[in-house]
Amino acid sequence: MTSPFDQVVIGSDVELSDDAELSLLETLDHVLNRGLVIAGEITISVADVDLIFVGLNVMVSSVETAQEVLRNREIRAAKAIAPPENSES
Amino acid sequence: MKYYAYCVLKSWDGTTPSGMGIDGQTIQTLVVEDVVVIVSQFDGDIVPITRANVLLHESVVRSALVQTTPLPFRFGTLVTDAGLRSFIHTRHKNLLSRLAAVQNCVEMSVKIIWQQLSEDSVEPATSSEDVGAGTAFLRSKHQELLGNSVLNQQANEIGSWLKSSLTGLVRQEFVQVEPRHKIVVAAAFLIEKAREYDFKHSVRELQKNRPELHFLTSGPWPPYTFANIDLEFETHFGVS
Repeated sequence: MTSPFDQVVIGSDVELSDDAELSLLETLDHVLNRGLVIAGEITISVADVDLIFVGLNVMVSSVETAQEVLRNREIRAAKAIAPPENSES
Repeated sequence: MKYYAYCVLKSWDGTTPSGMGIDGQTIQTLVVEDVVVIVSQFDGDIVPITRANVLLHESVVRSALVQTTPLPFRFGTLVTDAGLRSFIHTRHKNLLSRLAAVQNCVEMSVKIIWQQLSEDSVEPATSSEDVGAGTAFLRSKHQELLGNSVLNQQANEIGSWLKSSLTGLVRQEFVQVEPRHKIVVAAAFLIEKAREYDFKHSVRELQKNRPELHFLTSGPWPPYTFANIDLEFETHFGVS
């Protein structure tokens, strides 16, 4: 059985497969939302877009991506265990 | 010129982490009092959030995790040399305490996604055809409150179940329950590196027991969730 823990993929040459995208979102969740803070010393920007908006987008896409990946996994798993179709014709 | 700060460590073997930091700058280690801070120089006032920068930040912090357990800074921390030294000096006691708390540990993340079970559990509203508008409104409100209550109860039950099931394996945990969100439980667990296998095994068992819940798990991580030091301060009168 594979581990439920997805080792986070690090590197800029990662293909954006479903799992890699999930890893990236998990990385964003950790790196942008958590960690030691020196008050008033954080200034980040995404093309001048407000950070709260960016954070919200990350959260929304996290949930949507997670659900999509889980759905795809379930479909793949269902196909894998489904009996072969009757080929009578 | 400012420093981009990655993480704080208690001890370091003296070798500078290899690779480049944000903006292609060389990674440096600064010894401030008795802690080590991993930084790189940064010429600017704003750190752009790009995929490459986020991954670089994580990559540098993760390289420190190989040797010891660091306290990671949040992405985008730019600080002057004087500002960094002042931060370490004024928060020294709390930093050491946090470093001791996370020593030899990693963070494991467990998120649980649900399909709001209460939708099936709450009785549907009765027909409002034979009642007045006021009664219909009150009935609808009653159903809504009932739904909220069931939802909260179910969400809290999942959070408590997860927490209590892993209690013996973790040093510290942070479990957030959000009944109104699809990610109903977002939990981070601080575990000793040596217990990683046991923890993963236990989570696998939990997944088997509750197939109706979707688990989104990741790790091991540097302890991002457990890095924040106590920001309260003691006054001269001993009041926090």
